[in-house]
Amino acid sequence: MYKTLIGYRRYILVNAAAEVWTRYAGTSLGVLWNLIHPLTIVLVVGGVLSGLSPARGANAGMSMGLYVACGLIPWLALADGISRGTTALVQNAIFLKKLPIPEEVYIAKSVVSTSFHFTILLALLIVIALVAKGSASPIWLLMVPTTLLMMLLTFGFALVLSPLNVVVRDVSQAVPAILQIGIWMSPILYPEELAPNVLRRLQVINPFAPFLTAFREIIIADAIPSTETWLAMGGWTLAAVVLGVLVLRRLRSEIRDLV
Amino acid sequence: MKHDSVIDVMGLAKSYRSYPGAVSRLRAALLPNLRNRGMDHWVLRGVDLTVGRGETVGIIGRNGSGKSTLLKLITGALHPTDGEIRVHGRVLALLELGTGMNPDLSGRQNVLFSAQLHALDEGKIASRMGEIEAFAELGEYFDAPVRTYSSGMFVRLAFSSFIFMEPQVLIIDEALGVGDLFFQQKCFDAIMQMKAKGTTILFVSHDMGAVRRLCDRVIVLDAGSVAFEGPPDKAVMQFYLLHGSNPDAVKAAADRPHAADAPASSSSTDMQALLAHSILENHPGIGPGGLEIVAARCLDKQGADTLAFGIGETMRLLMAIRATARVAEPNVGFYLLDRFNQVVFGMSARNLGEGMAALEPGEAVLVRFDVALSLAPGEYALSLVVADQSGHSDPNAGTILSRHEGIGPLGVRCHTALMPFYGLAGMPTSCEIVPVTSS
Repeated sequence: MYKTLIGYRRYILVNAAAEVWTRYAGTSLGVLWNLIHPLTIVLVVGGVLSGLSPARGANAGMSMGLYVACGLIPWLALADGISRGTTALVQNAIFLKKLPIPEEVYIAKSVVSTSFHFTILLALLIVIALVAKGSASPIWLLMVPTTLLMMLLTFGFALVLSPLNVVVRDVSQAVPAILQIGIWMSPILYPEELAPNVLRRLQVINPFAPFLTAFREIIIADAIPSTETWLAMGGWTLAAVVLGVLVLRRLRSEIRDLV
Repeated sequence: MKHDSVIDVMGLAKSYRSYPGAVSRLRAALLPNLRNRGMDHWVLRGVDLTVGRGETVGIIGRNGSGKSTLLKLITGALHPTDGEIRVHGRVLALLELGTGMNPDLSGRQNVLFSAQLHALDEGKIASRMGEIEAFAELGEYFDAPVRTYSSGMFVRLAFSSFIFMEPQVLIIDEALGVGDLFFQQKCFDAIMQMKAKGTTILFVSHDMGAVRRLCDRVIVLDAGSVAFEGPPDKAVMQFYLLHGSNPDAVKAAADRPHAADAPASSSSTDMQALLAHSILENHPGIGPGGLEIVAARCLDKQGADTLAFGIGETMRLLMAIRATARVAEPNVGFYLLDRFNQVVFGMSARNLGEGMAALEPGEAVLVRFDVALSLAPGEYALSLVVADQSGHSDPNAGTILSRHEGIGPLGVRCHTALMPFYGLAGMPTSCEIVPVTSS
């Protein structure tokens, strides 16, 4: 699979970039819409949460905004990647029926397109962090490996879900509902202290939890995430990719007959 | 297995499996050891094929005989259910013509893009861009977005970029039916040049002339397996022989030993046979009524029910009609329409000088037409009509009381290598060759 993806790298990159541009083709604000949507959530939720925080004032509002942004922006990228990845094969049915291009190329294309999207969002996150904290830190560079790991995790999920969606089309309908639950499973839009005990224990089975911890550690605390966090991120990613490869291998012969 | 073979196909089979539901399909795919409840629908079975380097092999067969599936399996766009495919070298299939093009990119960019699509070396393609541009003859459109192209220009661009990718194996699937005649000729020349350079070609077409001209060897596919393999002329003949007669009709004739005495009178037993074999099923009569077609049969000269005929063969059309009201000047006729919905031929009892007496309510008659189908090979739709011609001063005018449309398709095929005539229809023609005596 690795070799295939390398062989088709130009195709994947060019197509993914085209996908990002065509998504907003015809709108006057173009790619800016990519930013406006999360920015409004950050402002609204940040504003509401700062009212709950003991420390009041503009400063508290800013730091709550950053807290929300650190969770929301990676989450939006993960959710976007998973929902796009799930439909990656069905949406490319015309190509699958005619071209001998392997299935994983289309899945990779959708995840790379999400990564471009994510990169733009991360720039927004850096701007918010600079405004809230007033200074940058070299630790922030750790966002790069964290992001790469998370995109690999997304690729793994997409490898599992998109072949399944070819066979059982209900999958693409169920995924948004599950993602809706997912955003409340993690303390993204509310402070960690407000989470009920049950939910806190459930973080062990939440693949997004270590990534959320890592992003907050890096940006808010300017600290290197703990080894435990890195291991958890790596573990989830590896598990998702291995499972994805197995599912695709099993279903590969069925996919082109069914799309 | 020959050493210089480019394509080796051994025992190839492809089935589309159907399951009672999506969940049981998923279970069968993920846990193959469980009891499998799927139903196999075989599209290809036991296909063996070896194509040598530089050889041009044609594949012919009816729609649904498995041609496209076989090609997709060879290109790798489908996975076989059973058997083995070995391809040595780069395969490019013209059936993918333009599939991966991005409408927002220019022609030039799309040429590079299709190189990426086939995981090819872009530098090589870029170095031949001038030749590609010249071949495509797109002028300034070569640098315009592909979405502004006409469909013909699109095909020109796609075909041009394909040729310069220099595949070892080229698969052509009816792709040449597009573009204008002159570009088609140019493509044909380009293909001939590639053939001369030693490119292996797999050619799938319904154009028997092109198959004969291009191919060294032809394979006839029928119902998913190889029915014949050999020289083009013989293969084309086999293809026509295979499909000239409808096997079901022959079987039906064998089942009815007395069918040869085709019903000529309107006795009650004939009426029963007529009703039992009526071609009107699912084709209800449209019209005000008063006179209706109760049943109709279509027979060949042996008296077997069929809708498949050879060119010039006589079709016997039987129609039982019954009046439900008094009809002063009844008339009965039929039309044959081609695939463009053009009336190719129409005939009625009155045109043949068979004036019919007035019919009282409840009265029925049987009408028989014998028509020699001197038509171009193809499929035709049959329409049956009953009318009342009274009260019209124009002898060609009448009031249609009931008509049944879209019956068939009626197939006309050529059984001989030499066509009895060319064009849409045959006209009685004679020819005499007289020696010139020099005085």
